[in-house]
Amino acid sequence: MTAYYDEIIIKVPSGSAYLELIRSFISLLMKKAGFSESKVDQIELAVDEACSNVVKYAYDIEKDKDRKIEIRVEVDRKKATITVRDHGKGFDPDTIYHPNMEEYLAKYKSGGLGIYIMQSLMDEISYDVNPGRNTAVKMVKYLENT
Amino acid sequence: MAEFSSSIKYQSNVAIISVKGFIDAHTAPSFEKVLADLTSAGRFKIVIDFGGLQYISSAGLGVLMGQIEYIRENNGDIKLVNLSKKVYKVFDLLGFTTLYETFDDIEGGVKSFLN
Repeated sequence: MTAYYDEIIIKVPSGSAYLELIRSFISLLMKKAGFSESKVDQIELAVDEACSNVVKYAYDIEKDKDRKIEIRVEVDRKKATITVRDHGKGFDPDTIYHPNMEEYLAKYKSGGLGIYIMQSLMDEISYDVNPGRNTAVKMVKYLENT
Repeated sequence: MAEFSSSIKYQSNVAIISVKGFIDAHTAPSFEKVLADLTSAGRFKIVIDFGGLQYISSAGLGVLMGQIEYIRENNGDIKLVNLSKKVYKVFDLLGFTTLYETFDDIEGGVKSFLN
């Protein structure tokens, strides 16, 4: 039986040690939502990349005392919507790096692939950036291909 | 299960790293140290056995990219073996399978250096 959730939210400290917990949370909910194993893996990786970016870039360890990542999962009959939110410095979505993978690999570049992975694996992605207040990355995956 | 663990053995002049657990932003530094220790010791022919690897994110791929140029400049290479379907898909998504040779087993990876 497929489970439906209006909304489930977890809030964890912004630290790489919590990524495993976040992946387990997402993987379990997506399996219960009825996603195929392959899509569960894709969503798990996309959310990991979003949260890893928060851990790496969102907060100033000296200045920001309350460093948290909030992950909100909404599931209905057609899709899962996952929003990763932080309260850090934010970023300009217009400056997001869009790598040319052929050139990237040829020049042995490293790093900066998180958002590319998220965009490649999820059906929709949007950003809501309010520096210092909250930054949200919203990702949608449909149960059936659209 | 441990988050990340690795062991190294040698066959001819090839170092074989067997990796277990997962490689994400948390464990990538440990994986990086394993590779860096090998290259510091002058070992540039490397087979990485991912048979025990449950998961990899871009942080793990970044470790490979951070080392591969130096390794190839020293007439070495990194060969990847025993990738699960899940792990292979991450490499393939980003085109990394065009940059790194993959093999079904350790023997295949080692032989590719000896030929």
